[in-house]
Amino acid sequence: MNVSLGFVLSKIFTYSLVHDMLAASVPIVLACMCAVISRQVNIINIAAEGIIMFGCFFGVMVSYFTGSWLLAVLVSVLLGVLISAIMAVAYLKYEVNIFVLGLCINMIGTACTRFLLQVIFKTSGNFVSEKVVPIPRINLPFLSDSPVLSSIFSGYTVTEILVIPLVILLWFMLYKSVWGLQLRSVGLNEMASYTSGIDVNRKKLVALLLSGAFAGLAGAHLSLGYSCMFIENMSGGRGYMGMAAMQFGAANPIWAALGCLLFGFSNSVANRLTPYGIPNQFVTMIPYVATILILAISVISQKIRSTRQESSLRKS
Amino acid sequence: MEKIVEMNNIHKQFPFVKAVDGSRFDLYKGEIHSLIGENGAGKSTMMKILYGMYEIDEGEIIVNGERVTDGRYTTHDAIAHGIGMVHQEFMLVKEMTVLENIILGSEPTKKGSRNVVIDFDAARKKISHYIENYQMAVQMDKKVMNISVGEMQRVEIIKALYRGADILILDEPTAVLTPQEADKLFEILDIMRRDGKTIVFISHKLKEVMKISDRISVMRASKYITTVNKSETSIPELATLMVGREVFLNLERTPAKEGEVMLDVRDIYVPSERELSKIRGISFQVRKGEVLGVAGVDGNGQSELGEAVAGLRRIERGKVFLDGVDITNRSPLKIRRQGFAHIPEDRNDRGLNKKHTFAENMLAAEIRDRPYSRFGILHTKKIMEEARARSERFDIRPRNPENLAGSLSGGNAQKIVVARELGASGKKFLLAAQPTRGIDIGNIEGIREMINDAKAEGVAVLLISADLDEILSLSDRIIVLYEGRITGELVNDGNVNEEELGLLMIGGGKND
Repeated sequence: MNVSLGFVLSKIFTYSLVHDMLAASVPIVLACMCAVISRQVNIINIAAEGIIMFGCFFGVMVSYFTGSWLLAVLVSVLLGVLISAIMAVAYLKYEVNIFVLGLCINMIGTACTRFLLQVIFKTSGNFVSEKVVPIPRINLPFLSDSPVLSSIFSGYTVTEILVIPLVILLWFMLYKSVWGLQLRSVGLNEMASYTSGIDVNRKKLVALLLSGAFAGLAGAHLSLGYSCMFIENMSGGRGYMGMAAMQFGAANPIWAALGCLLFGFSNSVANRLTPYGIPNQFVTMIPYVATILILAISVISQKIRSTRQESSLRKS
Repeated sequence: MEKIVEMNNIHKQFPFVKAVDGSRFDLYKGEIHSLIGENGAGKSTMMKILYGMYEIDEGEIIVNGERVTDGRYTTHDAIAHGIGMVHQEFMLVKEMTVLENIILGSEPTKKGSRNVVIDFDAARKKISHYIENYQMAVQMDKKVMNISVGEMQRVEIIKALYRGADILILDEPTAVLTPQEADKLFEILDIMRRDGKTIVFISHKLKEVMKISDRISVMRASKYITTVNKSETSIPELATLMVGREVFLNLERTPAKEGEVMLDVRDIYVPSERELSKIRGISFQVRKGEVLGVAGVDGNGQSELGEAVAGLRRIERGKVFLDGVDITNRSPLKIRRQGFAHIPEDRNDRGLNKKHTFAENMLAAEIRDRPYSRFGILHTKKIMEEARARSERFDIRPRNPENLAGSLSGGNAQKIVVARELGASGKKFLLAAQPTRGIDIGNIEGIREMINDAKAEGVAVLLISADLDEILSLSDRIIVLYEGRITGELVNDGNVNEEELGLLMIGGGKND
């Protein structure tokens, strides 16, 4: 038993796990940025899950019919913006509860893509085709001599590479720019922002539209970059994992993105465990157990920190 | 002199009240114009309208000769017209720094960054100009949550000036200051007037109004009454104009009895989100049949003290006894069962459920007991009978207990809270936190009498109030809180000096 456990572990924890972990993290990072931006204007936006499903399906569909991955990604992003715009009108103008709206989008996302799969591709469950053009991968030929370096640094899709500057840009815009200061102030104190002459609803609208764009991108990447197919329910809770990572990083894009790596790690370990006779139900559970653990840890540590800070026994 | 603001025939309706009813107001360049009236008279609403925070239902506003109400008029437009406002409830983002708060919405940007990247150095430079010019010290890098209330007010004033305000509206600015700090503020306002700024001073403290105004406008019950020149009026005349009758806020205080100790607070430590509000070791006793007043500038731990005693905030060290029973960190329900009555400091947030009826609110604390319910089923008839009886006894208007609590005026809503807390039998101790904040003079008189009556019947009262007049009119003894510690204790024998109290309130106590 011991020998076989050691064998399994040696098969799982290899250098190629780094690549797998990073790749598995990227869709969650994109979903997480959706949660981060809306959280910064004090909106708990749970719709990432549903928007990702739309992004996945339309990414595959546009790529299939046009043969252009770039067009497919653009359509998915715009679709994310459009769905967010509908939510924004309902939430900001007609004051519909944002949680109910998000729930609706998520339910429609699952059901509608399943329906479209049957109508357009006359199939159910999943759709694979050679005509679907994936997002290209960038290989670094000068690393090909070293399998380790090549595995870690080479062979990422365009979107995977793009994610790093995107997160840094978002952080910079939130914390160093006029736009970000005003956006964050809306989330922290709406009245103070309004009396400072800031158009509060406009800021919220922009934040929602941007978060939709990120979720749409997450969807297109999931079906055209991370994989090259459409599967029903393929978002698999990544939208929610992104929210958990947002919580973990206290809505700071960089910390939140680092939190996503933990999910990427648990996802890829789970994938590698499957062939070793561990019950499938248990393996698929791992990312969700990780979600609960990460949330619990971040909430507890934040609580401990604030209790310590608020204590009257602490010397100031 | 040049007229720079004119507001004519302004109407504004809120869900339950007509806040402004055909009122008017005007401003001449370079004057200090006071707008006085009772709480709820519509002063703040009128000025929030001028600042673009509320849309008006009817009327016109003319600023610098331009009819701004022809189109949509927002706060953004008001700022562009050189209007700045310091609100009674400060409009600051407490998680952000003083610097960020001041520049918010008018951020200077770095050259060549296409108005994207904030230029904090340029902002600092511009702000230090105001700090020096008006001698208003602020710590630019501290988070707002960690500065004192007086400093927050200076931040608000600088914020308005930074936006280029020529017209500065101050809504009850002295309510959060000690007498000395208020004098300092008046000096600053005087310098601003000399610099050509125009100032609107909203207040109901007539002494201060007479001290600094050029002209005074009076509002009563949502209506404009009149405008007078300072030189042609007097405090009694203003008081009559403001209330519509002569005012006597002279309560006949019942002398304290030498009763046994009812509340015993022993060296407690209480946490707070704000550094200056943490309670750091305080002890005192309240005896049967006396009122102990807690004075101090808001934010020095008064709220934390009240919440700790009431079981709403954790006590980290020390003990609290009520009539000999240890109530430290007990649940509010258990504490109430010991005969603890509580008028919470925020009527809208904690005191009342505005969406429930008057009767439901009034009996909320007793509704689980007979005769108001049996086996969990409400006995509506008994509830209504008792609510009606108490509305007579505590003079709550209108009398109909089926009205929603939210439809009552501030004063009458607060009386529901008092009736709930003091109407039940067996109360030994009353914690009254800011019991008359934001209510009209008639009801202030009524509520102060109720508190005095409760004391006369032998209830021990802990009165927490930022209003010095209230502390002096009700208390038998006074303790002063400053940064979570007691800086002094005085016996209120009728010779207490306000200056001395003011000194204790800014930490200059005998104990130092």
